[in-house]
Amino acid sequence: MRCDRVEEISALIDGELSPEQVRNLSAHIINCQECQNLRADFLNLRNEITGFNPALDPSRSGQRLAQILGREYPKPASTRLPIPAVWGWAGSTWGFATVALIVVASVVGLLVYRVVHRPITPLVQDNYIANEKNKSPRNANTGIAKPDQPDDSNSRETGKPGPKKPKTRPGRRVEPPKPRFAPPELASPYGSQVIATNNDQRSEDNRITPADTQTLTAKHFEQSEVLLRSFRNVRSTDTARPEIAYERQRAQKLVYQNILLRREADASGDVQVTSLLDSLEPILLDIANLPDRPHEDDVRLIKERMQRKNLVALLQVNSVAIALAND
Amino acid sequence: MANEDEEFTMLFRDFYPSLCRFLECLLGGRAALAQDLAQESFLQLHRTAWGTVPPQEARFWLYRVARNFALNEFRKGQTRHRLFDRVVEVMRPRTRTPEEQYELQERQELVLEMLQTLPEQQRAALLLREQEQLSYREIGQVLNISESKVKVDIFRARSTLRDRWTKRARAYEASAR
Repeated sequence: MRCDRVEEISALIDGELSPEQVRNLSAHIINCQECQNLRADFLNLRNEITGFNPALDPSRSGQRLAQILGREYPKPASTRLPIPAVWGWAGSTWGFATVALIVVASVVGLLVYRVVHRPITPLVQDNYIANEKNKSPRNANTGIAKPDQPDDSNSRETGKPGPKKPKTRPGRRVEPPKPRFAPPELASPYGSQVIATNNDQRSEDNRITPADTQTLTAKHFEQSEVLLRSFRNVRSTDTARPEIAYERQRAQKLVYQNILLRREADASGDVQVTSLLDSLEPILLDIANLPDRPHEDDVRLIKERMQRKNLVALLQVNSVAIALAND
Repeated sequence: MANEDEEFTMLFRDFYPSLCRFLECLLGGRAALAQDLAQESFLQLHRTAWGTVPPQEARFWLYRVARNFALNEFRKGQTRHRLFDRVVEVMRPRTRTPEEQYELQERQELVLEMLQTLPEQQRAALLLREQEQLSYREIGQVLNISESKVKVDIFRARSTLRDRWTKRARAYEASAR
């Protein structure tokens, strides 16, 4: 018999439920296999749909923009060499046709060569996120996986940072500035100082076991929840912008942890944890990239995104659930 | 004027790729047509609504207009072929191994194929949610439907895709034995 709460699962993963509803549904999911399977399948479908990227040629995009603005797009300088006058035979009809054919073929070949070897420069964030995803092993061929353990409440975003909103004149700013803080590539999941310093978490043979990772994940969720609560309570006064130096520093540290834990979760096939870490990461990045005294609109937008994703509630529920699972 | 062009350019750079992605999925993989319609959407914004649409609404305005262009294309049943674009696509340098690229392409084609089986409104709602991460309220604004309708459409779209994906997977496993 079909569970009567399956329709809520869709809204859950979209972050459209209230914190109370999230808690309620999460408690239900723990005991309902059908809802667990449904959530896992919906999240896998999301992976497939968001993995689609259009192939855009930046120069053609530039041309299109120039056409819209009514400007002429700068053409590359011609590389054709003048035909030497000594080639008099080219003056005859056949000769001219042959030369013209050779020249046209050369130009076409040159254009194709240039297109093939032109570097593509996607947006920094999309490229960073795409590279991160490409390093993770894919799911099974069926594309739909069953969860290995009881699910926790989760409201997952795609892992890609939301599309940037337009920057406007002062006073009408809509979106935080482009990120300047980009965590470097981390060669080994166990190479981070952040995780390596937690020596008391390691087992006797100095390897990190799945239980260690779960404990670290629960701690990370707890720390992130504290940070987001603190950020949520940031207020500006009438005369001064909000002060967020502490939140910014914490976010910078937590971003590293998030990346490592996300890779671990992805490698172990833990869809729920991967989803939550995916949702959390762009928020941590944006907080880390804010100046110490940001514009209040920038702060407000991040708070709105946190609110939309129900992140604080989800982090709380997940950290408790993982801790209980480890007991 | 220069300021307005600069703002428009930033808007274009921010949303042109995602608008192309939305249209390409909506149109079943017709990349060149998707880019044409995306350009027309921006052109329409620049010529008729730039300066009157609030900046935070411009994005939804673009998606609404782009979707209407796509609906027109469905009605006309036209398909535009751009030979040069196809050549560019084929000759584009790859960053993945051939096997990874092949698998990725197969999965993307499968996703596009399955999306085409959905009713257009469900498909549009699902794409706006998954790819553009719009809220239900914002999707309702773009598609001119209520939030509750958005919720139902997205749930139905996911359920349909899930059922079809499962059937496809089972058929694949059966043929592999």
